Amino acid sequence: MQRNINRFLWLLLPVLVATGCDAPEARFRMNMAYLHKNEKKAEAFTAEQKADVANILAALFGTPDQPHLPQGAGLEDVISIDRLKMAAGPVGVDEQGIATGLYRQHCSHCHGVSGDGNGPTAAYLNPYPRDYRMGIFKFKSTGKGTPPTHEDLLRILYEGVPGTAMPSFRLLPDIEREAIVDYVKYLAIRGQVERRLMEDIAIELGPGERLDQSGEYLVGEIVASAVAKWSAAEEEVTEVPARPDDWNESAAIARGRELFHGAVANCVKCHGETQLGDGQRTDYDEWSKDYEDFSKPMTDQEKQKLVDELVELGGLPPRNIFPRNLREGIYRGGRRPEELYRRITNGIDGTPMPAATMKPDDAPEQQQGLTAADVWCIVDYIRSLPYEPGGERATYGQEFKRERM
Amino acid sequence: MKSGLKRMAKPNEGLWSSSIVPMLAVGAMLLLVVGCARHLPPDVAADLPSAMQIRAGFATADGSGQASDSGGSGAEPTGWATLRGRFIFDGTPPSPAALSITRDNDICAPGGKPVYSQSLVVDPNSKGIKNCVIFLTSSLKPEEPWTHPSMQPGKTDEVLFDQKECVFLSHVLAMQSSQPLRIKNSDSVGHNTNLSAKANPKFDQTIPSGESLIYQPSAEEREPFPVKCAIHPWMEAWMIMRDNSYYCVSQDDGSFVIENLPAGIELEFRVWQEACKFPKTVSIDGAGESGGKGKLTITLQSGADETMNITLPSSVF
Repeated sequence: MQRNINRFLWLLLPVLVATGCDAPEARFRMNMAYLHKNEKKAEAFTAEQKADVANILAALFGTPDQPHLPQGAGLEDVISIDRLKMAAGPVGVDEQGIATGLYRQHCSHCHGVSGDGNGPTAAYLNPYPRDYRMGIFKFKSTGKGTPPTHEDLLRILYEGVPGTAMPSFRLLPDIEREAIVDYVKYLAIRGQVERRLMEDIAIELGPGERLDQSGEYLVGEIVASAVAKWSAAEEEVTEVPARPDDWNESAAIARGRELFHGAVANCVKCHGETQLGDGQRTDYDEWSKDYEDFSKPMTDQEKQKLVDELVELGGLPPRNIFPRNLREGIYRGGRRPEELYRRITNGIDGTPMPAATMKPDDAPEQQQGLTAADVWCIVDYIRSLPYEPGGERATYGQEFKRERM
Repeated sequence: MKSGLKRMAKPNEGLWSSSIVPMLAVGAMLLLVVGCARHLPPDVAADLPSAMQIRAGFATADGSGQASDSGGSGAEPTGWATLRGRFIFDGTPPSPAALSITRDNDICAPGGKPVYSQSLVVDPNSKGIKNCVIFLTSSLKPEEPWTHPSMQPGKTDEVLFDQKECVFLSHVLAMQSSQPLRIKNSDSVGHNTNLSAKANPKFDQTIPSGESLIYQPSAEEREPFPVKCAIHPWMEAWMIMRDNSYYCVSQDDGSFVIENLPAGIELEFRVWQEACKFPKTVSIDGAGESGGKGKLTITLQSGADETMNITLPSSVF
């Protein structure tokens, strides 16, 4: 018996030597879905045009092991190159004993080396991990279309995203969280530049024509215009006014209920009469709609064909986005009152949740819109929903089953 | 216990089975270590030497990049001219698809009236295509003799963008990037207007019934962007902002006219239609040349009133 095993192990040795335990060098993958979307808009990109996109991106931003920030686009105000280098590269420790490769250690298995939200685990998660490459983030203190602030991203790392697979990283040292935030911004800006290059080929260039490779165009125009929004974000933070002094919570909840169902705030349209998030469940978020607007009327076969195409291009099958079930008391962007306040006044970027129409406190009664106090009423009403005794849920209990997700 | 005793009683069989078990175990471990490669779609990897060459070019480009910025190779416009024409559909126009109205039916489709998609509206008699956009892409200095006073940037009169019966009343809207846009809701239900602008700030707000809001763009868009309503997902419109007024959205019969264009210099236009975006090919009847992707070039004579009919073959849709 012993001899049999020995013989077998000897046989095994050459197999192990042949296969080895080598891992290929990490590299950024191209956004093939967006490339193909642009090809459909114009014509197929030539091999040179595709290689140009990859090479220009490597020229501007380097590789996962050797990140680079081009000079002259204001990037150094948004990202610290030292912190970036801490987060980049393979997992390890440098000569001073400082951890490196933080992104690959903590993030890449879900968010992917390229920040495409399609790491090895991504397909098994619901919701999918964030794809940074559009530069859109949901839970932040700025309005729609404005990138998050540095603080916003730090907060996500500190708190995690409740109700999703995104955990809290509060046990990491502050400097490591800062480094990861810088790396996420780097991947986001790189992704935005990649998209812009593909758009320029599709929109501006003739068939086979090559991209301009001058720094004036690439750094001065393309990178700078992406960075400008990120550096302006810090000044675009929505202020949250304090609740009025004479606040009566039960009156506020009653008023909030009225506003929730009213035509001005219109929350009920999507979050539903039951507040279970069942008012509108057929829409998709921006990431799912990026390749094709799947909410458009189409047959099942047409849809399946597009989904197959997208998956073949490295995307994940799109899923409907559901309005939050407000009776669970789980708020992905945070449960603090001021966070809920911002979700209402700013909307949620990348999703169908719109920003509320606001009006100043001294606006005439007939002017439609919400005052700050109105929003506080809705916040209090929402916060009361998970604890609302029996009543509404019992009535609908059979029809609307709670979904665990 | 019992089976163990049995095995001991038959040594030959025991030997055979005891060699296959570890073999399988080791094989399984080997498979675990090696693993199955994840299927990743083919993509394009960067070639690092070429990338370093491009990067090296950034540092030296400062001096040489300036030369191309003189604008228009020195030629000055000689006067003003008008360009007019029609967008024509070549082939049998498809009948517009009926949209599925899934909510607020009494307001959005009163009396069960069908609502049709407006992505390609062709006049059955003249074959003219409605809602095509033609806009000037040549960069012009914003003053005379390049830009006529009536077309110069900086207009500030309000543009109305209304919605009624869950239809955006301007299906394709072109405006100057300095003009305020009044987004109105004339319906008795609440709407949400979502502008997916690229160069301009995004806008996504609920518009209560009867209310209106101001959206102030600031930058020029390169192509029209969609406007949607999340509450009524079938609602759609398109919008473009340009710095000067050299743009036109075609009428019901497909006609367009752009007046006071600078004459004597080569002008580049783009044409756009919702169903085909920038059409791959168009044929031109009259003055001008087509360069693909909806690009048209033309040089107008001073005082001229040129006609340029643009035919879109059914193959581009």
